[in-house]
Amino acid sequence: MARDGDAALIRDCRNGDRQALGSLVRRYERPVYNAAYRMLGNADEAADVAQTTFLKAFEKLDHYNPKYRFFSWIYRIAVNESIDRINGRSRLRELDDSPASVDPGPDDIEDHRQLSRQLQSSLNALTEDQRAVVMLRHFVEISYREIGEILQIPEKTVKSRLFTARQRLKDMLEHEGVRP
Amino acid sequence: MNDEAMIDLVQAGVDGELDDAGREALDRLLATSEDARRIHGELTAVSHWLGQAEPVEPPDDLHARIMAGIELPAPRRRWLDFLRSDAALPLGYGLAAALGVVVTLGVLGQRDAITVPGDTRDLVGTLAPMDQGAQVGASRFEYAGGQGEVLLTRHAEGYRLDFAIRGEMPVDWRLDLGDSGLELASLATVEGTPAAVDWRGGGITGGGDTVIRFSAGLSQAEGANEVRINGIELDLGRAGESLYQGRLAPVNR
Repeated sequence: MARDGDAALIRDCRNGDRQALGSLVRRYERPVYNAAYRMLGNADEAADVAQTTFLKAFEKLDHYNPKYRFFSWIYRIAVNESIDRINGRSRLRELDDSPASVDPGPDDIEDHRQLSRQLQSSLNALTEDQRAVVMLRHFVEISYREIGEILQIPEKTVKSRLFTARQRLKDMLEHEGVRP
Repeated sequence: MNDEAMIDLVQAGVDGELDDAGREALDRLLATSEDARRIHGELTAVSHWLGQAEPVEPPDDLHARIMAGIELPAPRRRWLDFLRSDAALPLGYGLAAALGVVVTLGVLGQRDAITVPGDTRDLVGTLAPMDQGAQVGASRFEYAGGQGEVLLTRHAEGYRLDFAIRGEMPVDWRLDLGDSGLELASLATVEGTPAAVDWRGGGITGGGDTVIRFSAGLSQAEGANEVRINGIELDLGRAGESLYQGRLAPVNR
């Protein structure tokens, strides 16, 4: 996770420097998109959430407290945006009564990517809170402390949520007959 | 050790969160507890399984989409930076040069796809009016995913340079007055924001914009015997890869 130099880039952004903005966006656009994809399981929605995340982050740049790490702040926005999107999707589903699908994207071309789809399906079956800790731990690869900082929950809650999520994933895998 | 403490220790071990003492405690626990070994195996398996997920690639246009939606605060006025700086050029000289540049409307080439600034009502900055000038240099070019043009007009009071690029993806760019014998006197932007202006060196750079349009007032550098139009250089690139390199071509009328 690139973090060095964030403070200087943010300072330059506050002075209207679009080159600094471009650098900061390049640094985080891929991880933010990946985080949103793992939360949502849909490429188009993940791109929308990534876009909204940066938009909100820079709209509120004056409120950003440099005491905290920029990546924590931007991931927090991304997770919240993803959860909002999931909740909105649930409300639509109540109206539509059609189940949300996992966007297979380009994965369906190769057989060995079946595992990825199964995995994303299982992630989608977790609660949003559980999915967020799994996503941050396994795909963003950050520590319990950092996860707690992003989700604004105690480290103890991170651990218990992570354990419950992993137990559920194990059960789903066994049910699906997948041997990890 | 109760169940909760045992689970915490095992899980922290799987996640690499233990220090040396913690790892020793885990080794002792795994050696003596069948439950700990079972949970350790399950958590390791799930972690391994999650690790097999294919990385997801964002769409090619994600960066452009993000950048297109973000407004930053207005940039600091570069001329104010200049006034505050320790630049060797005397303040009076800079002001005199800026005042000596005048802008004319309607001296621009007729092109539909992109247009350089042609109306001072659009301008953010200060370029004084110029007399009717003559186009003395031009460069119209295309690069992967975009196009642009640079026009240079000569006026009684000095020179005016109009710069425009428009692309699908942001590019990094640099305009360099090089050994043209010209120097920057004033600058006004219409769209996009140059990231840096080197007043003394005659360089303007930017990046992150898909569209950039600006006008610059130029004056002949003190001590320069002549103006070399093809001394003005332009570089475009993206992610370290060169997209276009060229020089302004003289226009003979």
